[in-house]
Amino acid sequence: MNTHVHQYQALVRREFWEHRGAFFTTPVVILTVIIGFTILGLIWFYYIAGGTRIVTDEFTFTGVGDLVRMLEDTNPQDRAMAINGMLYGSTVVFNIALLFYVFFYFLGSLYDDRKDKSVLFWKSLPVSDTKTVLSKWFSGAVTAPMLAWVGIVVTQLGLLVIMTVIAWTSGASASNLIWGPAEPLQIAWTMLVAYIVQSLWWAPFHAWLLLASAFARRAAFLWATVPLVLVGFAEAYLNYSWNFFRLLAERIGGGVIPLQLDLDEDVHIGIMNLDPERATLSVDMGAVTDLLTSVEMLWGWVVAAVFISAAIWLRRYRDET
Amino acid sequence: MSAIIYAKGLRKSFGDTHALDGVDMDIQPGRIVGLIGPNGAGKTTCLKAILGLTSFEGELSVLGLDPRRQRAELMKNVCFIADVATLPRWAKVSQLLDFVDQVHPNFHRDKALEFLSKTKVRLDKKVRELSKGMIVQTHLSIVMSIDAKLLVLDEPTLGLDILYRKDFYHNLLTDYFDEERTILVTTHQVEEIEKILTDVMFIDDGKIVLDATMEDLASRYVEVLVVPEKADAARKLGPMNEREVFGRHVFLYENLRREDLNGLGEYHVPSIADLFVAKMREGAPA
Repeated sequence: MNTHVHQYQALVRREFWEHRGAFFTTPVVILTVIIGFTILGLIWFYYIAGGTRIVTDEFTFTGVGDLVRMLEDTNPQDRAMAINGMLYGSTVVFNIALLFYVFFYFLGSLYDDRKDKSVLFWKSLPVSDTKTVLSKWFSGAVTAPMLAWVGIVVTQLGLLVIMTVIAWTSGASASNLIWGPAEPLQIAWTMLVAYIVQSLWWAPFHAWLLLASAFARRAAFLWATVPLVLVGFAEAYLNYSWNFFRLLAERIGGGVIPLQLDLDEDVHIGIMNLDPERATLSVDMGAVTDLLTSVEMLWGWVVAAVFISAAIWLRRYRDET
Repeated sequence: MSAIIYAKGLRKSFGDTHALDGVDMDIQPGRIVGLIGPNGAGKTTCLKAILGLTSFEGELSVLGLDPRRQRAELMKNVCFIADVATLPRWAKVSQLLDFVDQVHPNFHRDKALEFLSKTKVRLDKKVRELSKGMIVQTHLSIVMSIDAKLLVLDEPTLGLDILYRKDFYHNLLTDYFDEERTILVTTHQVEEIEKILTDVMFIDDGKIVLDATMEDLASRYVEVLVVPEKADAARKLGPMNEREVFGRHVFLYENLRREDLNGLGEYHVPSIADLFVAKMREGAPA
């Protein structure tokens, strides 16, 4: 029992070592860029655009100090909107990047080591192929989003610290102006739940990529995409319907990521309750339970289990010569 | 003592070609067995079957386990180096040690560190930064630090320069091999392993055409250098093979009584390479 846990730990750590560039460096770069551009923008405000005056009917703008005063003058509702909206906005970059690097991680996960023959080294160790495949699923579905989540939390803190410094330098009260309306904990918790639930929702999608990766002798990307397109068109041709494509779109585009926030449409998005007054999302635990026990979610897991079993079988019995 | 590898009637075909065509094996502990054959003879397929990396028909037990069903369990006591340079290129040497240490119950990290300290391999280097010879040294250091009962080597020194090749087998013999371990090795460079083998098997067209201990070989086969005048007499004794070296005829005999050799010329045990060539020609249609 203990050795099993040990082996899973080692396998997950191995995936991290190999994909450190995607899993760790990418979030670090994103957060550096967001924080960096924010600071650069402020420097521009302070020094270069210091003498610029923007005058409209509603406000006069001559520098960062005016920005702070603008924030002071707005009503608390709009202030919360502005601050939390900005904080949520910064998560979008992480969401999009995560989607891409997890996609390519899965595509290569059971393919790259066969291509460079290092699979022969991995297979010379007493680790079952079931553990190998499951550890790869875990890495893409849990390790990667969790590290992106840490990136999000650090980014939020960085942005709040910057805003605090600005408020201070302008002689405003940071606790009133920034920390009162800001909801960093709420956002962190929401994103954490969202990432976990989203990975569970995407399980069949991830498992399909694992299967394509285990199956492909070359061009894993094509094996992952072309069959789906063919099935979709076959349905359209034979049955004059687009149900398969709709199913795919709902699965990949569906779920809970706040990326798909549509502020106009509904105040209840997936598992989130939107509070339009403060521009925050809160996790609706009842909705989480509903989603986790929904027929769609359970079917997704059944399909994922089939794909993952097939990937394990291929990994175990595929002869590479 | 039960066999380390026991195989009966192993078969595997790719379409029309028989990679394995009824292979039998019985390898006992404490042996160093060379599996020798031309390209495409079935060597690698045979090793893959033993390691549970390919499907096959027939009966096969390795350390009493079925490689088809109990591969992960089997790998606790079997090590293999298949081909040079199969170590993952992205990994640091220290990471490889950490990983193997964590997943392998029979790995001794301190031993591996000691082996590596005798080489130029540095722990913080990535595999891709090492030369081919250093990669093999790293791999060998890991493998030699695993308490395994069976070590399988498939062309472990292919493409290495001669210094590394010499060291490879020297280290294997002095620091690793003992009477409880068994080594099964395939290679093209027969001369290099000739002196360390205890047993030799020839494989051709998926069949084992020779399976003998080195002592057997010495009593069964003899090579005689014959001057041209006596060549006809030598031919009458039914040699397996005849070749000419510097004007003298070299005849290779199987199961020839030593007294029949009297006066033909000086004789000795043939090298494995010469025996191999003779055996392959014998099997080939004239």
